[in-house]
Amino acid sequence: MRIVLGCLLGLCVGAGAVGDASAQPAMSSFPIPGAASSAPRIPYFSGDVITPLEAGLPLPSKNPRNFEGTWASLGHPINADGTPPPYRPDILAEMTRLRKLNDAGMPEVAKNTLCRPNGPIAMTGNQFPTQILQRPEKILFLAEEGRTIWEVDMSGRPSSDTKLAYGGHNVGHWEGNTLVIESKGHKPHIPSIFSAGNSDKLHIVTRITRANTGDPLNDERLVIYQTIDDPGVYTKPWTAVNVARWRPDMQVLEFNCEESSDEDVSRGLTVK
Amino acid sequence: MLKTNGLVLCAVGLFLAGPAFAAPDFTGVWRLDGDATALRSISGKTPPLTSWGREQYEHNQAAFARKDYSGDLTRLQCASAGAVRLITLPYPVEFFQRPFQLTMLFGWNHEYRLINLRPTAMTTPYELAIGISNGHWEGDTLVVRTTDLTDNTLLDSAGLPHGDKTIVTERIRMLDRRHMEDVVTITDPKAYSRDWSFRLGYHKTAAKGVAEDVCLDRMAAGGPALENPQ
Repeated sequence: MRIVLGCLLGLCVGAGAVGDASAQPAMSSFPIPGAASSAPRIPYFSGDVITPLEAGLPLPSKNPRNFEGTWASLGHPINADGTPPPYRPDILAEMTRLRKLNDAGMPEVAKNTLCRPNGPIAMTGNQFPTQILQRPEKILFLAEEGRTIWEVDMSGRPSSDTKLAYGGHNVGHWEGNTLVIESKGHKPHIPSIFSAGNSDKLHIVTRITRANTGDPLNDERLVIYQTIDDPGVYTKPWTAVNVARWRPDMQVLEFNCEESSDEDVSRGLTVK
Repeated sequence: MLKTNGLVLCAVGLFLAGPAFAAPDFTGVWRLDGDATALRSISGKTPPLTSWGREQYEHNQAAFARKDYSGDLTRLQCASAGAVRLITLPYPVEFFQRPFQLTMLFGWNHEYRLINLRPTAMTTPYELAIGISNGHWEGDTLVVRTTDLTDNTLLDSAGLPHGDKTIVTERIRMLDRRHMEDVVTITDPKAYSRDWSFRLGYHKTAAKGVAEDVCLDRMAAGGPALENPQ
């Protein structure tokens, strides 16, 4: 049921959704931990994402470099400077066209974007849980939505595989307590009603840091900055920011989008 | 007296500490030995199907012979192969082991399987093709119990069926540094008249990971849902 709902909301569609902070409808928002007080705030998905967790659930490690556990986004990623992402005019025109169709009750998606894994941008920006697993040589991000795997080589000797992948090819290292991941080699995605998509030139530098804003269980956060450089989609590099919450009450379950019939996956959508 | 007390204290300490045990580490990329397309029991026989099970099996085999995969959502539309069939596919699988969880990353269709190793069992609010897997160590053997399986998958690519109350028990152990076995027991009174087991052998490769595979992209390009990887 959760899978079909996710697909109906278009969450099965390709690359990540990045919100336009200036265009968000009025809703609750929260500050970015560690950012200046003048920094833009991130809109919450919905009020229930901040419901207090049951006492007694596991706490995260005291080691600030240990991200292991289950997390889920609190809100949509936004441009860290608060302005709309710098879309190319042709990309913006296509997103506008798709948004108008959606607003008119006729959402359109491309068939070859349904039931596909997400890329690193989308994975850091949705409410489905993501589990992080760490070994010295590799860090795994297992995102339930799209059954997405983001595998980060920490060995300093990455694979020579250059085949384009939805999850890209990712190499990581630590800068203090910040995990820095460089990603390239992504399969292209076309724009959708939820995202601008990406070209195969996409290059992302992700910086993830833990932060705690109070209660050790309820206020544990991952702050995620992603500098996105993709001349096929954007006129210049820009930095998205989002925040994930420690969610030991959630578990990553199987996402079997392909099990649904074409009819179920595309109900309510115009599939091209 | 002092010497005797010291010996007693030492014995108590050893008792409290328990036996020295380091769980084996399955981490690495493994490939199946041989072909597990059509499962046979450890004794080499066709599994002990009930009359319902036999009817399903024969129907599936006849359909597959004429390339009718309407009863096989995996081959038809890249649906999850399910907990059992996934481990029989001829694709590499990466084991990523942590003390609290063994994760299997499959080289087919970006599938992954999480085996909980915490004392508290994981549950699921609904049935899953891959079920829910909980494991514990018995000496050097990882014993995994998988439940809550949907009934719309097959046990293998030859068409072996299973019912909606299937329980899968696996005993996974290293034979040596480069070889591993998984002895799988199926408990399913709807499809099989008694429990039966089969054995899968794996060898370790030098690969650092498994490449991303997206079945729907392969089918969109005119290829099959399942193929032997290069």
